[in-house]
Amino acid sequence: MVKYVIRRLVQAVPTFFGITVLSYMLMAATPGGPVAALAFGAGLKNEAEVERLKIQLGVNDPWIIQYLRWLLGDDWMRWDADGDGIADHAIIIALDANNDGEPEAPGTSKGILRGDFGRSFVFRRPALQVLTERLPATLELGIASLVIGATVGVVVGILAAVNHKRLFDHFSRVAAVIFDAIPVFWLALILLLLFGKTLGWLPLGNRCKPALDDSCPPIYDRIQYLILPTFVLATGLIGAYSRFARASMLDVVSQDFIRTARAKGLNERVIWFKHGARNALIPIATFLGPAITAVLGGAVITEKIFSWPGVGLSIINAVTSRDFPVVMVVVIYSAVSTIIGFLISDILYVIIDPRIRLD
Amino acid sequence: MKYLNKLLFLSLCLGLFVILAIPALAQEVGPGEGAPVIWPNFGTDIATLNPILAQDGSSNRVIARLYPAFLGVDSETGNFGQGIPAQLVDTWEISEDGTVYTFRLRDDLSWSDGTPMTSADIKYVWDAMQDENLQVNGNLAAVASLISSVEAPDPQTLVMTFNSPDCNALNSASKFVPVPSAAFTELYGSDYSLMNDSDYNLNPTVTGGAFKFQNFRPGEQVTLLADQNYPDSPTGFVAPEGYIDKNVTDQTVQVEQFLAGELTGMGVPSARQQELQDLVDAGDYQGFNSEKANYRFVALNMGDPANPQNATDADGNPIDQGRHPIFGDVRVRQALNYAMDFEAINQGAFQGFGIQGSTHSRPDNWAHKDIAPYPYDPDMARSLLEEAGWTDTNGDGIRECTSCLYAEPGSELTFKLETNAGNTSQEALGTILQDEWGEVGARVDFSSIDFNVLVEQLQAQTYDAIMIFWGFDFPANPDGELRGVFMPEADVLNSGFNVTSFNNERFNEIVDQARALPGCNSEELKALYGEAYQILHDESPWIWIGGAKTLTVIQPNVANFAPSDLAADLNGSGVLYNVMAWEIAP
Repeated sequence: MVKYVIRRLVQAVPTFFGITVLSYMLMAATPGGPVAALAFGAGLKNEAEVERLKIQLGVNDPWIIQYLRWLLGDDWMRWDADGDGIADHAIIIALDANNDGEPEAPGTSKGILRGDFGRSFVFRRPALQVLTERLPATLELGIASLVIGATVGVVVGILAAVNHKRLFDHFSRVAAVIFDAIPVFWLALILLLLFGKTLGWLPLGNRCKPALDDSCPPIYDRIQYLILPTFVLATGLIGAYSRFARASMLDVVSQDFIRTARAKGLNERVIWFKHGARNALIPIATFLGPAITAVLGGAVITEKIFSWPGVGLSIINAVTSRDFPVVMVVVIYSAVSTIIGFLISDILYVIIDPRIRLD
Repeated sequence: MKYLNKLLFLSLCLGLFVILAIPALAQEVGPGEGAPVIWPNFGTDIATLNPILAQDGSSNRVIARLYPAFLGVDSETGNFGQGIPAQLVDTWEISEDGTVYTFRLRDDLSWSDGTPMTSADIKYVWDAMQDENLQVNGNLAAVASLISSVEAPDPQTLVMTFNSPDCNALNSASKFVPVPSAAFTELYGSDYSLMNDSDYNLNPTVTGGAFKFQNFRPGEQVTLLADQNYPDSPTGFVAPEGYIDKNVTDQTVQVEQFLAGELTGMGVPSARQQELQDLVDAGDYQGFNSEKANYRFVALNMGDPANPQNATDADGNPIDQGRHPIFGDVRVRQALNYAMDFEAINQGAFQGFGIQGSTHSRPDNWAHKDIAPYPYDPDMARSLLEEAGWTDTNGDGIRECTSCLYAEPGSELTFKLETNAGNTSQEALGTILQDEWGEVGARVDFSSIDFNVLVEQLQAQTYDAIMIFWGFDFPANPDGELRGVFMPEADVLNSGFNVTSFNNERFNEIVDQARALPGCNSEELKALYGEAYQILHDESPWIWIGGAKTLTVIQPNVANFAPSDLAADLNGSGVLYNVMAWEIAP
């Protein structure tokens, strides 16, 4: 399996680069680049000032040069050879980009291949940090909703199959459709108003109580803040997993080996839950990969309504404000989480079904 | 006897209760003993807490708590004042020729590390502005070209020399915010551009306001603690234990959190304004209605959008900018004003809280001239359009050019109206205008688009009509706002703010004359600016729709809440300017 994992990771490398090139090209081609809004807000009054801002942000060059700068850095593109603090050599880019007679500042970025993801145009701090500082909150919410959604969904689906055509089966199918159909924003607001405002049982959003402390308390001290957003996110997963688990289970129990098990006189509980369920879980594992990817990507609407400080909102803000460095971090993050998610799916296959070998 | 014992016992209990309760009921809040003030934002994180760099609202709202003003606003007059609290300047003198301002500074202010606040802390800002690699904020960038030098001959004296006599010099000076120059010098030396990306920007350890920085949790809150060294609190001490700028990303949830007592106060979104106003009127909450609203306007491109040009070339010679086929004619611009039913707009977009605009000025502007807005008169609108050569020849309800000045004969009176997406009030307003202008024979193609794209089109001057917000300065800065938006020097593609290509000879004369008026007599200035505002109203490069009164609500247990449209903190807030005096029992 180790060889398989390594091979998959190596195969992902060209895909990864292809994604980044395409993303950067599309982003650079999008109308309304970062400069217009930043210059507008900064009150820049003339073309020279706007041009200087473009040079500072590194967006005055063609997109392919910008991409190379992002990938490999620009400390080798424009540098100060004699140590006087003024750039005196340049390749690929101009030494005096705005033709004002003064060389531009030496390049300082090292590029992502050397671990430098650049600085956010909007927030003026490392682009990677803009995303990673929100990752813990996303993981909290994502993992909680995935665990609950998948667990509850699979259990309900299996039980529905066990009680095929009985009341529980019908009820769970209808519930699954309802859970799938309910708009997230509506459900979130209704639950907030009911449990937060009317009943006062749960908080009205955020991750913890505002206080003058340096950080939120540990998760076990603020679990009440997690309940509603987790439930909202999990409803969709419960609906999807319950239907799929039910279908998979019904398919498995109609197979010959289950008939054989019955013929051998095995207990129904053993047949359903030891033999049937385990085989029914195999196809469900295919959903876990995309589910993990979705979890890591954040949940914009839920985060917005619950003021949950996850990555979803910051991704949207980065895209709408054309914050190129942060957008590219998001692209990498999404690509990596997709690769990891699908890899986890494949590994789970092997764990669940010993007949499967990865080679 | 039994009953007597019971009576005695009950009396004792009652007495004990009174003794214990009265101090609780009459509890006074001492320095830093009040509950922290929790103020919401809509989830946009601060970008920097460096006042030289900050230009976003989230950052400036927090900066206003951390730094003092160099030149603040007198809450009694709504204008700059000498000897008032909460500013570094004590007094100032103006040279006879009107170019040299000598500020005498207070000697009782200090930074949180104990170093005194001096003229060096303003001089530092000026020196930093000279570094063209430093991304200074727009306010400082706007005044940089007006000032020739800033000198600090001694710690309590700052001399600011302007390039020319400038009756709005104090507005320019007020853009400076003192920074701890000693701490900054230690961090950055003489390379000011190091400030751009410094980690210190989000962890300022040396501040001089009523609060000092504690921490920043991205996506959650910015936490400040009271600084009892601050000498300018109206009550003599900083009452709240701290100040929390809390992220609450949804408007509905924000209101509910306020109603549940989780927020100290908030600016009420327009959709809930009437509801909260009713609660304020019933005495359930404290509230403040401000008329210092941002104005909505429609910019009408008067130049040729197919071939946009700067107003002048590099040598200052005028360039032919062509004329917009529709908005090049003042009669069409005026007609659109007459066709606008503000009452319908007030109900549809402002929930009944609207204040109609008429020119580029708000009533709180000291130079404001009361100019009656265009009345709603669709017949007048139709008449003007007919006169301008736009007639509906084929009876389809849309006018065509029959004898118009600039469009191709036979072309329709059709234009694009765009605004920024994501603002339901703007979108409602655009739809109303589309209908109202349709009634007089114009086909308006209204759309709401991405803000970055909107700004790009606006500054490239390739648009027809764009609807957006304008926030006026307070105290008013007539020169800055008129020159920066309607003078030819600001008509520069992709950078200047004169995006309508407005160019009126008399207007230009007035603005230049007012800036350099000897003696800066306020009545004469008012007369000059009044004429300028009248020209803008008559020529209508913008349609000044107006704004909506805003409502700020505060919890009933907050003492010393004293909002005023005459007051302003560094961020222009007439509500939070005295937040350091708010006493909230814990």
